Amino acid sequence: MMNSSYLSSRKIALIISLVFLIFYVFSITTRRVMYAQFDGNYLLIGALSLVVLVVFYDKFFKSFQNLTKLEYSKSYIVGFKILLVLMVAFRSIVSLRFQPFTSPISFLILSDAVQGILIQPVFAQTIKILLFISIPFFVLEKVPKISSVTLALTFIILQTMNYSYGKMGHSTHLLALILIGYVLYYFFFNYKDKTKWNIPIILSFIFISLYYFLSFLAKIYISQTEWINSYSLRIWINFKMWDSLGFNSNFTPNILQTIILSSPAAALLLSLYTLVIEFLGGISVFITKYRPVIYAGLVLLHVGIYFSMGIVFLGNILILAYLITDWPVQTKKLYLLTKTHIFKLRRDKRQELIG
Amino acid sequence: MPREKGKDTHKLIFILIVFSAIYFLSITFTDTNFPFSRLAMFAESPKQACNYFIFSEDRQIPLEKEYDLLEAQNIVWRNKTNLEDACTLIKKQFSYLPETFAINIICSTYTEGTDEIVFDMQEAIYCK
Repeated sequence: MMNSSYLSSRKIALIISLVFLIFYVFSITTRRVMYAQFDGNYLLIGALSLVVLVVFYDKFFKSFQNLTKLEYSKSYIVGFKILLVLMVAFRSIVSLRFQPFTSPISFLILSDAVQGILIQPVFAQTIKILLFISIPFFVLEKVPKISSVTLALTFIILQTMNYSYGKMGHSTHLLALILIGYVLYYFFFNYKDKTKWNIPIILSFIFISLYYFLSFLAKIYISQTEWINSYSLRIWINFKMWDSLGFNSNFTPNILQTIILSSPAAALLLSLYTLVIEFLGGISVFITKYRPVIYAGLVLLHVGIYFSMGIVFLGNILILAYLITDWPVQTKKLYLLTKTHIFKLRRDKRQELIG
Repeated sequence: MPREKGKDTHKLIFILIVFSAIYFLSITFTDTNFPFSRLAMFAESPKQACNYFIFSEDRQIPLEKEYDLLEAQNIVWRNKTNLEDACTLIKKQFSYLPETFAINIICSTYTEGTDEIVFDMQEAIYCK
């Protein structure tokens, strides 16, 4: 395995780890990095995870080799793309309702002049039009490189303009990551080769792992013990009862909220469930066997988040549910099983009648 | 085709490494909208956490402004400023906010043993 690309991947991981560590030292010594006091932890963890990746490179290599062997039906792969596009279109239409393009874009430090151009209605309209034009091209795989880049970029720009201060909402992160996955697929893999059609699904597994691993880290390293002892969850729901006039007696908690507020033990259990399932989601890319169970657990988590905190993660729910298993194949199997069973029943009955 | 498979594996690991780096860094530098962090970091004692809340006077926050209000809360929290200065700061940043709005500091106190969380409004101001 000592070939050049193996060495170069390892070198890249080492270099990036070093960059992380330098940033970390920089942030804790100078406090020049924004919000260094807690965000520095991300950098440290990022660096350490990459060091682990370098040390266990061979094991990772085997895991990824197993991933590339996964086979999916054509209808499943096409279905995933269509689901993704529907979600992107839906999110973009919803975004338009929010009257976007009034917030400055601050994910990049841009001069006022550039920002002025970006928030012009003409620019906004162009972005919207480009997004919807690129959709059919992307679905039909016509000029895939250009259409995938256009779709990903316009979606991300639209979402960053819609959410406050040029950031993307948490519920659109995963959609954007998977779109970027398609861009990488068209650029770095031979998309015309049938054996490579599973790559976007595999890239989605990778990005789902990244997404949930970061959520897990955030809960542990930012809130420290606050999430583990359910303090954060209970405070979040309690704060819903306040408004500008003080205590808002109009707020009526639903069943799940009532349970969390009245029973610290239940709140603790739900908080721990969140941590465990997010950690499992984080490592799910390496566990092919239990991935469906973990994804089902994550769907449950998002349903719980909706009922307790009121945050909708529809995109995540649909993507996770779709990736649980190859649904077209499973449906076909079920159909065949039922058909065989019915056929057998009929035959038995006929024989009984003859007998 | 074992060579091809190996190539794909390298590509996937490369994507994992690069994207982990980009994702971690981008979240590090842009994501401050995490309420748990605000609660934890503003804790004055291990068992007390305070937070700034901004409300429109009529309790009806327009949907399209909701995210910006969240960001306004972040600005106040980030600057850890007094409430009067916070009014000026928010008005400057979000010129289209409602004419009058309120900023509250609500604190929660957690008592170990009884396992109770008590909430009270510590400070409030109307920005006009």
